[in-house]
Amino acid sequence: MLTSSLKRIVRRSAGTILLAGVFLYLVFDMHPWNIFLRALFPEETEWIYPRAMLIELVGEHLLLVAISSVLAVMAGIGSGIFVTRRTGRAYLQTINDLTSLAQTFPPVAILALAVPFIGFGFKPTVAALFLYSILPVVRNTISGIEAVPTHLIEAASGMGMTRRQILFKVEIPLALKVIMAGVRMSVVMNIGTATLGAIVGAGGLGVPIISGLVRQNPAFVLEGALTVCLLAVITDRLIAGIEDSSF
Amino acid sequence: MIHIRNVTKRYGTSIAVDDISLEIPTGEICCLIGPSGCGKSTLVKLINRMLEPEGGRILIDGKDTRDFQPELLRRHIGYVIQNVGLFPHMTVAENIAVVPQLLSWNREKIEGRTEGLFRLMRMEPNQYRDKYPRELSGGEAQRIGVARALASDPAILLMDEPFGAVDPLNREALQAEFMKIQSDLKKTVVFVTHDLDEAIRLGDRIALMRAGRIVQYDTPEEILAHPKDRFVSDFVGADRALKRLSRFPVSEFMKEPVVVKVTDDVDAFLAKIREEGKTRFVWLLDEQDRLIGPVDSRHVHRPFNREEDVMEANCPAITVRNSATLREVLSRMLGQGVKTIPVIDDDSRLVGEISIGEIEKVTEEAAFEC
Amino acid sequence: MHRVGIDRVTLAGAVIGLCSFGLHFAVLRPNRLSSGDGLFVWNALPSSEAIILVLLWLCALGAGLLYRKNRPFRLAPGLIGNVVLVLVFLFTAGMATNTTDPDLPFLRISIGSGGWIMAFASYILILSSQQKLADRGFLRLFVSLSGLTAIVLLLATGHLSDISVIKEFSARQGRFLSELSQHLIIAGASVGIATIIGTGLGVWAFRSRILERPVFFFVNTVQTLPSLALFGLMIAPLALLSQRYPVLRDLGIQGIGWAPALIALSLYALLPITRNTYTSLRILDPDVIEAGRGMGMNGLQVLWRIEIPLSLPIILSGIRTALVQSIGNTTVAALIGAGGLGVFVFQGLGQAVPDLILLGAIPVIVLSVCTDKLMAILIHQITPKGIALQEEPAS
Repeated sequence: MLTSSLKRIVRRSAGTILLAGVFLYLVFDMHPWNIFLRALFPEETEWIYPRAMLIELVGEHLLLVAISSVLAVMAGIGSGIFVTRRTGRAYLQTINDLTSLAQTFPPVAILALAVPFIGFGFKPTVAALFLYSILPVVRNTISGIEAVPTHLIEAASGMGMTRRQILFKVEIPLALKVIMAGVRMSVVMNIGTATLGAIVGAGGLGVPIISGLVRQNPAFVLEGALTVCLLAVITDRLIAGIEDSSF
Repeated sequence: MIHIRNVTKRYGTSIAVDDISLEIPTGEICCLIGPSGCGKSTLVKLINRMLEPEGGRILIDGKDTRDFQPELLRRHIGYVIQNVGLFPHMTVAENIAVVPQLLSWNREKIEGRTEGLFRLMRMEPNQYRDKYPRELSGGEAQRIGVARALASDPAILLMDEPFGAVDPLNREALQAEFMKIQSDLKKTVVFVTHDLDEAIRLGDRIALMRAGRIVQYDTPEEILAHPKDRFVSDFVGADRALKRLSRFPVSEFMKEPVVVKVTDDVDAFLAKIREEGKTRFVWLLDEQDRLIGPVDSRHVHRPFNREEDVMEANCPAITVRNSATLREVLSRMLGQGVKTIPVIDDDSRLVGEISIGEIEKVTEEAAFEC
Repeated sequence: MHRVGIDRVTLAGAVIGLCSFGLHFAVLRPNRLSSGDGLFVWNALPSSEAIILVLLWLCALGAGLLYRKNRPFRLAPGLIGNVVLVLVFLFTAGMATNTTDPDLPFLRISIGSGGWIMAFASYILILSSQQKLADRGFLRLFVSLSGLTAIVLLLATGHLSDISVIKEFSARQGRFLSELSQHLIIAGASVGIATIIGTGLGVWAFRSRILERPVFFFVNTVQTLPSLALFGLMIAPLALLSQRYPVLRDLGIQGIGWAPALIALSLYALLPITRNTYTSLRILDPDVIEAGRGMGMNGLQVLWRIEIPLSLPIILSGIRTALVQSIGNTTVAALIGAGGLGVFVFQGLGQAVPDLILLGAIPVIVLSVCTDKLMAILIHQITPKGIALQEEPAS
């Protein structure tokens, strides 16, 4: 029974695993880059961004995304649960209004505004990323939990579950799919916005892109762009896999 | 035994339950019925403390419900609601196991109990155990809902319109099954319904409610025979005499039929009957004692001719099953214009006959005031 | 009925507002480049103004703690919020008259983090009133917009011109307006292109089961790509193309500039429009169309009187999402030479001039929010009464 569902998961995510394999190969081995970029842009003199290895850039980028996303997911799900509980219900509408308003703000604006108030570099970028990526998680947690039919909650309560047991045994399992969709949106958006972190001194895969734009070297741009695109798509598919396997 | 003493529940300025006192004896089904908003669902929710009363007490077997933590109380009371509320993300077996798990039963005990409940509901364990609620039909889901409520073997069962969301055909089957189960388990049941026929069929006692108060609390026969006031008689309907008939099973009132088999010497038998002069009609049975039809001993060919002398009568329009009530009997009589109806069992064998006289005796017992 | 209780939202707003006094209300800089000194409320403002602010927040605190369910209490937080909002801007601008220093002719005054948080807290108060007032009533509208309207009026009449970012604006008004229009043109054009292509794709995907998966696979994947990366990916092919065909360069199409930006932005805008077109067709009840045909409507009438009115709100909803997205992404396009308000943002980041960043970022945010709200009103107006418009799906 366990092996058949495992086989199913592997078969479904075959494409993603393949992509991930390609990605890891390209990050560690620069030869294919050389060949590919040289062929495309014969007039250039440099093809690989010299100041940092691709693996370092990927690492910086992942660190930016990981820290801000983990914090955002925890805080987001926590807040979403809080405002759907009895004690937090007074704040539900306000949080809804605030998050839907804040989601119309362009992420680049939030990132740029963080600088005058918090400063340049890694930490302020993480803070800005956290502030923005918490929004879809909160909204989806709220809508997922609110979508659980009330008669199920009534049945659970009538059977003698405590409020905490109802939350963990009924509400969260049933809301999980929607919550994961929000997490996926949040993380993928985060990867995209973190690319801009290069402009505020946070490092990451935006660095070769910006450098390429400044120095008018399309090879650098492609090196950064292709890598971060692969990263984004793989992450999206991986989380989608988790999303599909929950109820 | 459930004692409800002077219980009141208010919502703002409106009173949902107004100083109600009620005693529900152990092992009985008490049906709460009344128009929408009369407070019947509210009263049930006060018993398992889904709602808290403003005044009064509720005692279960002498112990005040307020002495227990609400969640603990509810784990020992079965609760079935209209939409069943089966958790869609759990299998049927996991659904049933919820309360036993809350009570920390060990796994073997839970599995054993689950299997027992499947058998009680007459559902094949291996077939249903790993199914998900969305794969069940309406009737199946309802039965699992009842099974789930019985999982911790509670003494009390609270049921709030449990068969309301099911089509009439399935509903009758569920009611019949429930009565069978109840005759085995003898739980104390509080059953909320808006369907008077259901209440009459299932209830040992009926509490008719209106605007938060109990208007009449009696056995169904009493309520139908002697409605306390205009409201009750309007509620039970102008046809309460007919409804009352459904409380009387035909098996208790049928008489021994006079029969003759095709294999017997029919002519001789009929001659003897004519001589005795006590009966006129005789039932003809086949070799397996199955009913063929009535024979008029006075108007018959000599020798007896099966095709012409017997009216084929083994069909649902003219017969009743021995599990039926006097209400069906009367319906057949009116439909066929006859005064006697044969009673057959599940194999179409004749087990008795019932005439209009028996029905008249029953209806005479009730005094109908104008 | 007149129970006294705690209004949690107003209370939260009041607490945040009072806490904001602990942060710098305004920032004073000797010139536009250097980082300045932050000033607390009591240092920044004359005592009368400071006391007014304190009193207003104490009133808000009172309104939160002693809430009653009658109209004055429902209005109070909103009114206080609007007043505080206007005063934050007004008082900051007023600081110029109080701190003119002949040694610092290039003095720059901006709202500090404390001032912004106070503005945020007053917005919470406004939200609190909004929630309690009747939908679409006059009072609700008043509470929602009076503060903002007042600020816009002050801005237009020059009363706020001493705030640093406004000075920045005045210094480059012409440039600002040209970049603003560039921004709007690019964002608008990309959504326009995406609408034409996206509605077509959506209809196609709906009609043909085979196309459905590849179409959605494509638009979904494009959405996950980081905007900067997609812009970057557009550069190489366009650069090659413009080298091969010089005529393109004369048209302005080259590796950098508006061309790659427009293409990338249109690709991004495809998903919401395609998905919503598809969904709008999906939920169209075939029985309704059959009823129409049965009544004698021809194809065009069915289209005009049934299909379009029912699917238009959903498609417009997709366009709304696409517009908001595009406005944001166009900001990034400044990096590849497409112009737009992003120019100021990135100049400000590069030169470390916070006011330039604000000059770019704040209009972009205002544009996004206004577009979103205006589209919401439009959609509400054209939704046939009796149809419940669903919220945008979460993913």
